[in-house]
Amino acid sequence: MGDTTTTTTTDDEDQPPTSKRHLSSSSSISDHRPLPNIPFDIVAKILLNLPVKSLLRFKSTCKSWNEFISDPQFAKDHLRASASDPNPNRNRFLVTFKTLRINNESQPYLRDYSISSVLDGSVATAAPARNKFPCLESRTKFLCGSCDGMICMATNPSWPIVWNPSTGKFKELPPVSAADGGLVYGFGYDHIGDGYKVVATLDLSNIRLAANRNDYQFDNFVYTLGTDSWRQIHGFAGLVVKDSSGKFVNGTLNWLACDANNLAVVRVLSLDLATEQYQTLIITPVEGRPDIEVRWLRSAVLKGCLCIVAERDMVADYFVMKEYGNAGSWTLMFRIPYANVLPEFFSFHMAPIWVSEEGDEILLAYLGMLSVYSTRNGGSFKAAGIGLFRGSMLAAAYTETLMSPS
Amino acid sequence: MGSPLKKIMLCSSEKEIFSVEEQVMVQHSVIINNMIEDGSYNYEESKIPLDCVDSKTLKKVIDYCTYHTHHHNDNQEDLEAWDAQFLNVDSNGLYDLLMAANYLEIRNLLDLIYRTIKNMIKGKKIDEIRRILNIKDHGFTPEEEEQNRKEYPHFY
Repeated sequence: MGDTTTTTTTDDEDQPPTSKRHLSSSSSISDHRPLPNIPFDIVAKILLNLPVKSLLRFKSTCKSWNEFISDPQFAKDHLRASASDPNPNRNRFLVTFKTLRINNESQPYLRDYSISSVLDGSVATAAPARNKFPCLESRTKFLCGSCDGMICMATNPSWPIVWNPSTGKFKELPPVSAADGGLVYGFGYDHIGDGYKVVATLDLSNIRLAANRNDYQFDNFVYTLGTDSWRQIHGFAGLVVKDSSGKFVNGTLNWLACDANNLAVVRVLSLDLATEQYQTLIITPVEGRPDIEVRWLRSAVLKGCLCIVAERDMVADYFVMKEYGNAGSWTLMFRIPYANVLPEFFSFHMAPIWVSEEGDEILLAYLGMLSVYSTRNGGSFKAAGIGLFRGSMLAAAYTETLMSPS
Repeated sequence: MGSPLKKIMLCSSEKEIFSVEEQVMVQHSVIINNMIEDGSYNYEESKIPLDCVDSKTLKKVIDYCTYHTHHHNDNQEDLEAWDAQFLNVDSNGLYDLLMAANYLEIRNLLDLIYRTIKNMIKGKKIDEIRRILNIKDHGFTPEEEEQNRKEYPHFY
Protein backbone atom coordinates (compact mmCIF):
# COMPACT_ATOMS: atom_id res chain seq x y z
CA MET A 1 0.00 0.00 0.00
CA GLY A 2 3.04 2.26 0.15
CA ASP A 3 2.38 3.49 3.65
CA THR A 4 5.11 5.54 5.22
CA THR A 5 6.79 4.34 8.34
CA THR A 6 5.24 6.73 10.82
CA THR A 7 2.69 5.02 12.99
CA THR A 8 -0.23 5.78 15.20
CA THR A 9 -0.87 3.90 18.35
CA THR A 10 -4.02 2.11 19.36
CA ASP A 11 -3.10 1.67 22.99
CA ASP A 12 -6.50 1.42 24.49
CA GLU A 13 -6.51 3.70 27.48
CA ASP A 14 -10.20 3.24 27.99
CA GLN A 15 -9.86 0.06 29.95
CA PRO A 16 -6.45 0.18 31.51
CA PRO A 17 -5.59 -3.22 32.91
CA THR A 18 -3.04 -1.68 35.22
CA SER A 19 -3.11 1.28 37.52
CA LYS A 20 -0.30 3.08 35.77
CA ARG A 21 -0.82 6.69 34.89
CA HIS A 22 -1.23 7.27 31.20
CA LEU A 23 0.08 10.77 31.00
CA SER A 24 3.49 9.95 29.67
CA SER A 25 3.67 10.47 25.97
CA SER A 26 4.31 7.62 23.63
CA SER A 27 7.24 8.19 21.33
CA SER A 28 5.47 6.84 18.27
CA ILE A 29 2.89 9.60 18.70
CA SER A 30 5.21 12.49 19.34
CA ASP A 31 7.08 11.67 16.14
CA HIS A 32 3.83 12.02 14.34
CA ARG A 33 3.31 14.70 11.78
CA PRO A 34 0.28 16.96 12.27
CA LEU A 35 -3.09 15.69 11.08
CA PRO A 36 -4.75 17.71 8.37
CA ASN A 37 -7.50 19.90 9.85
CA ILE A 38 -10.30 17.76 11.19
CA PRO A 39 -13.81 19.21 10.84
CA PHE A 40 -15.08 20.50 14.17
CA ASP A 41 -18.11 18.18 14.35
CA ILE A 42 -15.66 15.27 14.42
CA VAL A 43 -13.44 16.98 17.00
CA ALA A 44 -16.58 17.47 19.09
CA LYS A 45 -17.27 13.74 19.11
CA ILE A 46 -13.71 13.02 20.21
CA LEU A 47 -13.89 15.57 23.02
CA LEU A 48 -17.12 14.00 24.23
CA ASN A 49 -15.22 10.87 25.22
CA LEU A 50 -12.35 12.51 27.04
CA PRO A 51 -12.06 12.58 30.82
CA VAL A 52 -12.91 15.75 32.74
CA LYS A 53 -9.32 16.43 33.70
CA SER A 54 -8.22 16.49 30.05
CA LEU A 55 -11.17 18.65 29.03
CA LEU A 56 -10.45 21.28 31.67
CA ARG A 57 -6.94 21.53 30.32
CA PHE A 58 -8.03 21.46 26.68
CA LYS A 59 -10.03 24.64 27.19
CA SER A 60 -6.70 26.38 26.69
CA THR A 61 -6.11 24.75 23.29
CA CYS A 62 -8.08 27.26 21.30
CA LYS A 63 -11.02 29.59 21.62
CA SER A 64 -13.50 27.32 19.84
CA TRP A 65 -12.65 24.38 22.10
CA ASN A 66 -12.89 26.66 25.11
CA GLU A 67 -16.38 27.83 24.19
CA PHE A 68 -17.49 24.34 23.25
CA ILE A 69 -16.25 22.68 26.45
CA SER A 70 -17.65 25.50 28.62
CA ASP A 71 -21.14 25.17 27.13
CA PRO A 72 -23.66 23.67 29.63
CA GLN A 73 -25.06 21.57 26.79
CA PHE A 74 -21.65 19.97 26.32
CA ALA A 75 -21.56 19.16 30.05
CA LYS A 76 -24.89 17.35 29.65
CA ASP A 77 -23.80 15.49 26.52
CA HIS A 78 -20.55 14.53 28.21
CA LEU A 79 -22.45 13.27 31.24
CA ARG A 80 -24.60 11.09 29.01
CA ALA A 81 -21.60 9.81 27.06
CA SER A 82 -19.66 8.97 30.21
CA ALA A 83 -22.58 7.01 31.67
CA SER A 84 -21.77 4.27 29.18
CA ASP A 85 -18.02 4.58 29.63
CA PRO A 86 -16.62 1.70 31.66
CA ASN A 87 -13.43 3.58 32.58
CA PRO A 88 -13.20 3.14 36.35
CA ASN A 89 -10.78 6.04 36.76
CA ARG A 90 -13.51 8.63 36.77
CA ASN A 91 -15.21 7.13 39.82
CA ARG A 92 -14.19 8.92 42.97
CA PHE A 93 -15.44 9.50 46.49
CA LEU A 94 -15.22 11.98 49.31
CA VAL A 95 -14.96 11.05 52.96
CA THR A 96 -15.50 13.23 55.96
CA PHE A 97 -15.95 12.67 59.64
CA LYS A 98 -19.04 13.00 61.73
CA THR A 99 -17.31 13.09 65.09
CA LEU A 100 -14.40 15.40 65.00
CA ARG A 101 -11.60 13.83 66.92
CA ILE A 102 -8.76 14.63 64.66
CA ASN A 103 -5.22 13.67 65.44
CA ASN A 104 -3.65 16.34 63.36
CA GLU A 105 -5.52 19.62 63.34
CA SER A 106 -3.80 20.85 60.21
CA GLN A 107 -5.18 18.01 58.08
CA PRO A 108 -8.11 18.81 55.86
CA TYR A 109 -11.37 17.41 57.15
CA LEU A 110 -12.53 16.30 53.77
CA ARG A 111 -10.69 13.94 51.50
CA ASP A 112 -11.08 13.01 47.88
CA TYR A 113 -9.90 9.69 46.44
CA SER A 114 -10.36 7.66 43.31
CA ILE A 115 -11.95 4.25 43.73
CA SER A 116 -9.13 2.67 41.74
CA SER A 117 -6.49 4.06 44.12
CA VAL A 118 -8.12 2.10 46.92
CA LEU A 119 -8.43 -1.06 44.87
CA ASP A 120 -4.80 -1.05 43.77
CA GLY A 121 -3.48 0.04 47.15
CA SER A 122 -1.96 3.33 46.00
CA VAL A 123 -4.36 5.33 48.20
CA ALA A 124 -2.01 5.10 51.18
CA THR A 125 0.69 7.05 49.39
CA ALA A 126 -1.61 9.31 47.39
CA ALA A 127 -1.49 13.04 47.92
CA PRO A 128 -4.30 13.96 50.31
CA ALA A 129 -6.53 15.65 47.77
CA ARG A 130 -6.96 18.35 45.29
CA ASN A 131 -6.59 21.72 46.82
CA LYS A 132 -9.90 23.23 45.89
CA PHE A 133 -12.36 22.47 48.63
CA PRO A 134 -14.74 25.35 49.06
CA CYS A 135 -14.88 26.95 52.49
CA LEU A 136 -11.88 25.04 53.75
CA GLU A 137 -11.75 27.11 56.89
CA SER A 138 -15.11 25.83 58.00
CA ARG A 139 -14.68 22.95 60.40
CA THR A 140 -17.73 20.81 59.97
CA LYS A 141 -18.72 19.29 56.67
CA PHE A 142 -21.78 17.13 56.29
CA LEU A 143 -22.01 15.26 53.03
CA CYS A 144 -25.66 15.34 52.08
CA GLY A 145 -25.81 13.72 48.69
CA SER A 146 -24.27 13.20 45.31
CA CYS A 147 -25.77 13.43 41.85
CA ASP A 148 -24.18 13.65 38.39
CA GLY A 149 -20.78 14.56 39.76
CA MET A 150 -22.06 17.28 42.08
CA ILE A 151 -21.97 16.98 45.85
CA CYS A 152 -24.34 18.66 48.25
CA MET A 153 -22.73 19.37 51.59
CA ALA A 154 -23.27 21.69 54.50
CA THR A 155 -20.49 23.52 56.23
CA ASN A 156 -23.06 25.22 58.41
CA PRO A 157 -26.22 23.21 59.14
CA SER A 158 -28.57 25.75 57.63
CA TRP A 159 -26.30 26.76 54.77
CA PRO A 160 -25.68 24.06 52.19
CA ILE A 161 -23.27 24.16 49.27
CA VAL A 162 -23.48 22.32 45.97
CA TRP A 163 -20.01 21.61 44.71
CA ASN A 164 -18.48 19.88 41.72
CA PRO A 165 -15.16 18.56 43.02
CA SER A 166 -13.92 17.82 39.49
CA THR A 167 -14.17 21.40 38.27
CA GLY A 168 -13.93 23.12 41.66
CA LYS A 169 -17.07 25.14 40.89
CA PHE A 170 -19.50 25.55 43.76
CA LYS A 171 -22.68 27.37 44.67
CA GLU A 172 -23.46 28.54 48.18
CA LEU A 173 -27.19 28.33 48.74
CA PRO A 174 -28.99 30.99 50.73
CA PRO A 175 -29.94 29.90 54.25
CA VAL A 176 -33.17 27.97 54.60
CA SER A 177 -35.66 30.34 56.17
CA ALA A 178 -36.42 30.04 59.89
CA ALA A 179 -33.93 27.24 60.18
CA ASP A 180 -33.86 26.71 63.91
CA GLY A 181 -34.67 23.04 64.09
CA GLY A 182 -32.67 20.06 62.94
CA LEU A 183 -32.04 19.96 59.22
CA VAL A 184 -31.67 17.00 56.90
CA TYR A 185 -30.76 17.51 53.26
CA GLY A 186 -31.19 15.50 50.13
CA PHE A 187 -29.96 16.24 46.62
CA GLY A 188 -31.10 14.86 43.30
CA TYR A 189 -32.26 15.42 39.74
CA ASP A 190 -35.79 16.17 38.55
CA HIS A 191 -35.90 14.61 35.09
CA ILE A 192 -39.23 16.23 34.18
CA GLY A 193 -38.26 19.78 35.11
CA ASP A 194 -34.66 19.11 34.05
CA GLY A 195 -33.24 20.61 37.23
CA TYR A 196 -31.21 19.70 40.27
CA LYS A 197 -32.98 20.05 43.60
CA VAL A 198 -31.82 20.31 47.18
CA VAL A 199 -34.52 19.33 49.64
CA ALA A 200 -34.25 20.51 53.24
CA THR A 201 -36.32 18.68 55.81
CA LEU A 202 -36.78 20.82 58.84
CA ASP A 203 -37.87 19.59 62.23
CA LEU A 204 -39.92 22.50 63.52
CA SER A 205 -41.66 20.78 66.39
CA ASN A 206 -38.53 19.78 68.24
CA ILE A 207 -39.21 16.12 68.80
CA ARG A 208 -37.74 15.90 72.22
CA LEU A 209 -40.13 18.49 73.59
CA ALA A 210 -43.28 17.55 71.74
CA ALA A 211 -45.90 16.40 74.19
CA ASN A 212 -47.85 14.35 71.73
CA ARG A 213 -46.03 12.23 69.21
CA ASN A 214 -48.68 12.99 66.63
CA ASP A 215 -47.52 16.59 66.78
CA TYR A 216 -44.21 15.63 65.21
CA GLN A 217 -44.07 17.85 62.22
CA PHE A 218 -41.50 18.14 59.48
CA ASP A 219 -41.52 20.97 56.98
CA ASN A 220 -39.86 20.62 53.62
CA PHE A 221 -38.21 23.22 51.44
CA VAL A 222 -36.90 22.83 47.91
CA TYR A 223 -34.14 24.76 46.22
CA THR A 224 -33.82 24.26 42.48
CA LEU A 225 -30.32 25.08 41.23
CA GLY A 226 -30.47 28.26 39.19
CA THR A 227 -33.45 29.81 41.02
CA ASP A 228 -31.64 31.22 44.04
CA SER A 229 -34.50 30.74 46.47
CA TRP A 230 -36.14 28.15 48.71
CA ARG A 231 -39.72 27.14 48.18
CA GLN A 232 -41.85 25.37 50.78
CA ILE A 233 -43.46 22.11 49.69
CA HIS A 234 -45.61 19.58 51.53
CA GLY A 235 -44.27 18.51 54.87
CA PHE A 236 -45.28 15.41 56.75
CA ALA A 237 -46.41 14.53 60.25
CA GLY A 238 -46.49 11.41 62.38
CA LEU A 239 -43.06 10.33 61.19
CA VAL A 240 -39.57 10.82 62.54
CA VAL A 241 -36.77 11.02 60.01
CA LYS A 242 -33.86 8.82 61.02
CA ASP A 243 -31.40 9.47 58.21
CA SER A 244 -28.74 12.15 58.16
CA SER A 245 -29.35 12.70 54.44
CA GLY A 246 -31.84 11.81 51.71
CA LYS A 247 -30.70 9.18 49.23
CA PHE A 248 -31.28 9.86 45.54
CA VAL A 249 -32.54 6.85 43.61
CA ASN A 250 -34.67 6.64 40.51
CA GLY A 251 -35.86 10.25 40.52
CA THR A 252 -36.76 10.17 44.22
CA LEU A 253 -35.18 11.14 47.53
CA ASN A 254 -35.43 8.52 50.24
CA TRP A 255 -35.11 8.68 54.00
CA LEU A 256 -35.50 6.03 56.66
CA ALA A 257 -38.31 7.18 58.91
CA CYS A 258 -39.96 5.80 62.05
CA ASP A 259 -43.63 5.80 62.81
CA ALA A 260 -43.95 8.47 65.51
CA ASN A 261 -46.17 6.17 67.57
CA ASN A 262 -44.05 3.09 67.13
CA LEU A 263 -40.38 3.92 66.91
CA ALA A 264 -39.55 0.25 66.36
CA VAL A 265 -41.02 0.39 62.86
CA VAL A 266 -38.77 1.92 60.22
CA ARG A 267 -39.87 2.38 56.64
CA VAL A 268 -38.60 4.26 53.61
CA LEU A 269 -40.15 7.65 53.08
CA SER A 270 -39.75 8.72 49.48
CA LEU A 271 -40.28 12.02 47.72
CA ASP A 272 -40.73 12.13 43.96
CA LEU A 273 -38.54 15.04 42.83
CA ALA A 274 -40.62 15.75 39.74
CA THR A 275 -44.06 15.92 41.39
CA GLU A 276 -42.69 16.86 44.84
CA GLN A 277 -45.21 14.40 46.30
CA TYR A 278 -44.54 11.70 48.87
CA GLN A 279 -45.09 8.14 47.84
CA THR A 280 -46.37 5.23 49.89
CA LEU A 281 -43.94 4.20 52.59
CA ILE A 282 -41.80 1.28 51.47
CA ILE A 283 -41.37 -1.68 53.81
CA THR A 284 -37.76 -2.61 54.59
CA PRO A 285 -36.42 -6.17 54.40
CA VAL A 286 -35.86 -6.24 58.16
CA GLU A 287 -39.27 -5.13 59.35
CA GLY A 288 -40.49 -7.31 62.19
CA ARG A 289 -37.07 -8.81 62.85
CA PRO A 290 -36.58 -8.70 66.63
CA ASP A 291 -32.80 -9.20 66.33
CA ILE A 292 -32.32 -5.94 64.48
CA GLU A 293 -32.25 -2.72 66.42
CA VAL A 294 -33.65 0.30 64.68
CA ARG A 295 -30.68 2.43 65.70
CA TRP A 296 -28.35 0.19 63.70
CA LEU A 297 -30.22 0.72 60.46
CA ARG A 298 -28.88 3.03 57.81
CA SER A 299 -29.51 3.74 54.16
CA ALA A 300 -27.13 4.20 51.26
CA VAL A 301 -27.05 4.06 47.48
CA LEU A 302 -25.14 1.24 45.81
CA LYS A 303 -25.08 0.59 42.06
CA GLY A 304 -27.95 3.00 41.59
CA CYS A 305 -30.13 1.03 44.03
CA LEU A 306 -31.38 2.02 47.45
CA CYS A 307 -29.46 0.05 50.05
CA ILE A 308 -30.25 -0.69 53.69
CA VAL A 309 -27.48 -1.62 56.06
CA ALA A 310 -28.60 -3.63 59.07
CA GLU A 311 -25.96 -4.32 61.71
CA ARG A 312 -26.27 -6.82 64.58
CA ASP A 313 -23.98 -9.08 66.57
CA MET A 314 -20.81 -8.36 64.59
CA VAL A 315 -22.56 -8.98 61.29
CA ALA A 316 -23.76 -6.40 58.77
CA ASP A 317 -26.33 -7.20 56.12
CA TYR A 318 -26.43 -5.03 53.01
CA PHE A 319 -29.78 -5.22 51.24
CA VAL A 320 -30.49 -3.53 47.93
CA MET A 321 -33.89 -2.88 46.38
CA LYS A 322 -33.28 -4.24 42.87
CA GLU A 323 -36.47 -2.79 41.47
CA TYR A 324 -37.15 0.61 42.97
CA GLY A 325 -40.48 0.83 44.82
CA ASN A 326 -41.01 -2.92 44.89
CA ALA A 327 -40.53 -4.08 48.49
CA GLY A 328 -40.50 -7.64 47.20
CA SER A 329 -37.26 -6.97 45.34
CA TRP A 330 -35.04 -6.41 48.40
CA THR A 331 -32.03 -8.65 47.92
CA LEU A 332 -29.25 -9.47 50.36
CA MET A 333 -26.14 -8.31 48.54
CA PHE A 334 -23.50 -8.76 51.22
CA ARG A 335 -23.40 -10.37 54.64
CA ILE A 336 -20.21 -9.17 56.25
CA PRO A 337 -19.01 -10.81 59.45
CA TYR A 338 -16.93 -8.43 61.52
CA ALA A 339 -15.80 -10.80 64.24
CA ASN A 340 -12.22 -12.06 63.91
CA VAL A 341 -11.64 -10.49 60.51
CA LEU A 342 -11.44 -6.93 61.61
CA PRO A 343 -8.60 -6.12 63.95
CA GLU A 344 -9.25 -3.50 66.58
CA PHE A 345 -12.91 -3.31 65.85
CA PHE A 346 -14.85 -1.52 68.50
CA SER A 347 -17.71 0.26 66.86
CA PHE A 348 -20.10 -0.10 64.00
CA HIS A 349 -21.12 2.38 61.35
CA MET A 350 -19.38 1.29 58.22
CA ALA A 351 -20.28 3.58 55.35
CA PRO A 352 -20.60 1.66 52.08
CA ILE A 353 -19.14 3.59 49.15
CA TRP A 354 -18.92 1.41 46.09
CA VAL A 355 -19.61 -2.11 44.83
CA SER A 356 -17.68 -3.81 42.02
CA GLU A 357 -19.37 -4.56 38.72
CA GLU A 358 -19.32 -8.29 39.54
CA GLY A 359 -20.86 -7.56 42.94
CA ASP A 360 -18.13 -9.44 44.81
CA GLU A 361 -16.28 -6.48 46.34
CA ILE A 362 -17.53 -3.62 48.47
CA LEU A 363 -15.61 -0.53 49.55
CA LEU A 364 -16.33 0.61 53.09
CA ALA A 365 -15.27 3.57 55.22
CA TYR A 366 -15.12 3.21 58.97
CA LEU A 367 -13.18 4.69 61.88
CA GLY A 368 -10.79 6.60 59.68
CA MET A 369 -10.09 3.52 57.60
CA LEU A 370 -10.97 2.45 54.11
CA SER A 371 -11.41 -1.22 53.49
CA VAL A 372 -12.42 -3.48 50.65
CA TYR A 373 -14.40 -6.55 51.62
CA SER A 374 -14.33 -9.35 49.09
CA THR A 375 -16.65 -12.34 49.11
CA ARG A 376 -13.98 -14.40 47.35
CA ASN A 377 -12.27 -17.17 49.32
CA GLY A 378 -14.95 -17.21 51.97
CA GLY A 379 -14.75 -13.48 52.61
CA SER A 380 -11.83 -11.27 53.48
CA PHE A 381 -11.00 -7.65 54.30
CA LYS A 382 -8.25 -5.78 52.57
CA ALA A 383 -7.48 -2.64 54.56
CA ALA A 384 -6.36 0.34 52.54
CA GLY A 385 -6.17 2.61 55.54
CA ILE A 386 -5.85 6.33 55.55
CA GLY A 387 -5.78 6.06 59.33
CA LEU A 388 -5.70 9.72 60.31
CA PHE A 389 -8.98 10.01 62.03
CA ARG A 390 -11.03 8.40 64.71
CA GLY A 391 -14.76 8.66 64.49
CA SER A 392 -17.55 7.64 62.23
CA MET A 393 -17.17 8.66 58.62
CA LEU A 394 -19.50 9.97 56.00
CA ALA A 395 -18.79 9.12 52.39
CA ALA A 396 -20.15 10.17 49.04
CA ALA A 397 -19.24 8.50 45.77
CA TYR A 398 -19.29 10.59 42.61
CA THR A 399 -18.36 10.42 38.96
CA GLU A 400 -16.25 13.10 37.34
CA THR A 401 -18.45 15.45 35.30
CA LEU A 402 -18.45 19.02 34.03
CA MET A 403 -21.91 19.79 35.44
CA SER A 404 -22.10 23.28 36.89
CA PRO A 405 -23.85 23.89 40.22
CA SER A 406 -24.80 27.48 39.42
CA MET B 1 -31.34 -9.16 1.98
CA GLY B 2 -30.09 -11.23 -0.95
CA SER B 3 -27.53 -13.98 -1.04
CA PRO B 4 -24.40 -13.38 1.02
CA LEU B 5 -22.18 -13.51 -2.05
CA LYS B 6 -24.08 -10.87 -3.98
CA LYS B 7 -21.65 -8.15 -5.06
CA ILE B 8 -21.93 -4.40 -5.26
CA MET B 9 -19.65 -1.94 -7.04
CA LEU B 10 -17.93 0.98 -5.36
CA CYS B 11 -16.19 3.66 -7.39
CA SER B 12 -13.28 5.64 -5.93
CA SER B 13 -12.41 9.25 -6.67
CA GLU B 14 -9.93 7.95 -9.29
CA LYS B 15 -12.85 6.08 -10.94
CA GLU B 16 -11.39 2.74 -9.95
CA ILE B 17 -14.11 0.14 -9.46
CA PHE B 18 -14.11 -2.15 -6.41
CA SER B 19 -16.39 -5.16 -6.30
CA VAL B 20 -17.39 -6.05 -2.73
CA GLU B 21 -19.70 -8.56 -1.11
CA GLU B 22 -22.92 -6.72 -0.48
CA GLN B 23 -23.23 -8.06 3.07
CA VAL B 24 -19.83 -6.70 4.01
CA MET B 25 -20.77 -3.11 3.20
CA VAL B 26 -24.40 -3.36 4.30
CA GLN B 27 -23.38 -4.55 7.74
CA HIS B 28 -20.90 -1.74 8.29
CA SER B 29 -21.92 1.33 6.32
CA VAL B 30 -25.16 3.06 7.26
CA ILE B 31 -25.14 4.94 3.94
CA ILE B 32 -24.75 1.84 1.77
CA ASN B 33 -27.24 -0.09 3.86
CA ASN B 34 -29.78 2.69 3.25
CA MET B 35 -29.11 2.68 -0.53
CA ILE B 36 -29.65 -1.08 -0.74
CA GLU B 37 -32.71 -0.99 1.47
CA ASP B 38 -34.51 1.79 -0.36
CA GLY B 39 -33.81 0.07 -3.68
CA SER B 40 -31.82 2.95 -5.17
CA TYR B 41 -29.00 0.54 -6.02
CA ASN B 42 -29.40 -1.30 -9.30
CA TYR B 43 -27.34 -4.50 -9.34
CA GLU B 44 -27.05 -4.57 -13.12
CA GLU B 45 -25.87 -1.03 -13.75
CA SER B 46 -25.14 0.90 -10.58
CA LYS B 47 -21.84 1.62 -9.09
CA ILE B 48 -21.76 3.74 -5.99
CA PRO B 49 -19.65 6.82 -6.66
CA LEU B 50 -17.47 7.78 -3.70
CA ASP B 51 -15.95 10.97 -5.06
CA CYS B 52 -14.26 11.96 -1.84
CA VAL B 53 -12.61 8.58 -1.15
CA ASP B 54 -9.43 7.71 -3.02
CA SER B 55 -8.57 4.16 -4.13
CA LYS B 56 -5.95 3.56 -1.47
CA THR B 57 -8.33 4.60 1.33
CA LEU B 58 -11.30 2.76 -0.17
CA LYS B 59 -9.27 -0.43 -0.34
CA LYS B 60 -8.41 -0.08 3.34
CA VAL B 61 -12.02 0.62 4.27
CA ILE B 62 -13.13 -2.49 2.36
CA ASP B 63 -10.38 -4.51 4.08
CA TYR B 64 -11.65 -3.33 7.44
CA CYS B 65 -15.29 -4.14 6.71
CA THR B 66 -14.43 -7.51 5.18
CA TYR B 67 -12.26 -8.57 8.09
CA HIS B 68 -14.80 -7.50 10.70
CA THR B 69 -17.63 -9.22 8.85
CA HIS B 70 -15.81 -12.55 8.73
CA HIS B 71 -14.12 -12.34 12.12
CA HIS B 72 -16.77 -10.82 14.34
CA ASN B 73 -16.73 -13.97 16.48
CA ASP B 74 -13.01 -13.72 17.18
CA ASN B 75 -11.98 -12.87 20.70
CA GLN B 76 -11.69 -9.22 21.59
CA GLU B 77 -7.93 -9.27 21.99
CA ASP B 78 -7.31 -10.67 18.51
CA LEU B 79 -9.64 -8.11 16.97
CA GLU B 80 -7.90 -5.28 18.83
CA ALA B 81 -4.53 -6.53 17.66
CA TRP B 82 -5.78 -6.63 14.09
CA ASP B 83 -7.24 -3.12 14.44
CA ALA B 84 -3.94 -1.82 15.80
CA GLN B 85 -2.10 -3.27 12.82
CA PHE B 86 -4.78 -1.90 10.50
CA LEU B 87 -4.33 1.64 11.82
CA ASN B 88 -0.57 1.49 11.39
CA VAL B 89 -0.73 4.38 8.93
CA ASP B 90 0.71 7.86 8.66
CA SER B 91 -1.19 10.97 9.65
CA ASN B 92 -2.57 11.59 6.17
CA GLY B 93 -3.67 7.97 5.99
CA LEU B 94 -5.42 8.27 9.33
CA TYR B 95 -7.12 11.46 8.24
CA ASP B 96 -8.30 9.91 4.95
CA LEU B 97 -9.69 6.89 6.80
CA LEU B 98 -11.45 9.18 9.26
CA MET B 99 -13.12 11.19 6.51
CA ALA B 100 -14.09 8.04 4.57
CA ALA B 101 -15.54 6.35 7.66
CA ASN B 102 -17.39 9.54 8.47
CA TYR B 103 -18.78 9.82 4.93
CA LEU B 104 -19.82 6.16 4.73
CA GLU B 105 -21.00 6.19 8.37
CA ILE B 106 -19.04 3.15 9.45
CA ARG B 107 -19.65 3.31 13.19
CA ASN B 108 -17.09 0.84 14.54
CA LEU B 109 -14.30 2.16 12.32
CA LEU B 110 -15.17 5.71 13.34
CA ASP B 111 -15.10 4.75 17.01
CA LEU B 112 -11.72 3.10 16.50
CA ILE B 113 -10.30 6.25 14.89
CA TYR B 114 -11.88 8.55 17.50
CA ARG B 115 -10.27 6.42 20.18
CA THR B 116 -6.92 6.59 18.41
CA ILE B 117 -7.01 10.37 18.09
CA LYS B 118 -8.24 10.64 21.66
CA ASN B 119 -5.20 8.68 22.81
CA MET B 120 -2.96 10.88 20.68
CA ILE B 121 -4.06 14.00 22.57
CA LYS B 122 -5.00 12.69 26.01
CA GLY B 123 -2.52 13.83 28.64
CA LYS B 124 -0.66 16.01 26.14
CA LYS B 125 0.52 19.55 26.69
CA ILE B 126 -1.38 22.27 24.88
CA ASP B 127 1.47 23.12 22.53
CA GLU B 128 1.72 19.47 21.57
CA ILE B 129 -2.03 19.17 20.90
CA ARG B 130 -1.93 22.27 18.74
CA ARG B 131 0.88 20.67 16.77
CA ILE B 132 -0.76 17.24 16.44
CA LEU B 133 -4.10 18.68 15.33
CA ASN B 134 -2.50 21.41 13.23
CA ILE B 135 -4.23 24.22 15.11
CA LYS B 136 -2.36 27.27 13.83
CA ASP B 137 -4.77 29.96 14.96
CA HIS B 138 -5.90 29.36 18.53
CA GLY B 139 -8.21 32.37 18.43
CA PHE B 140 -7.27 33.75 21.83
CA THR B 141 -6.19 37.36 22.07
CA PRO B 142 -2.49 37.72 22.97
CA GLU B 143 -3.65 38.88 26.43
CA GLU B 144 -5.88 35.81 26.94
CA GLU B 145 -3.13 33.49 25.77
CA GLU B 146 -0.59 35.11 28.08
CA GLN B 147 -3.05 34.99 30.98
CA ASN B 148 -3.66 31.26 30.35
CA ARG B 149 0.04 30.52 30.16
CA LYS B 150 0.65 32.43 33.36
CA GLU B 151 -2.25 30.80 35.20
CA TYR B 152 -1.63 27.23 34.03
CA PRO B 153 2.07 27.00 33.14
CA HIS B 154 2.00 23.20 33.55
CA PHE B 155 -0.57 22.92 30.73
CA TYR B 156 1.90 24.12 28.10
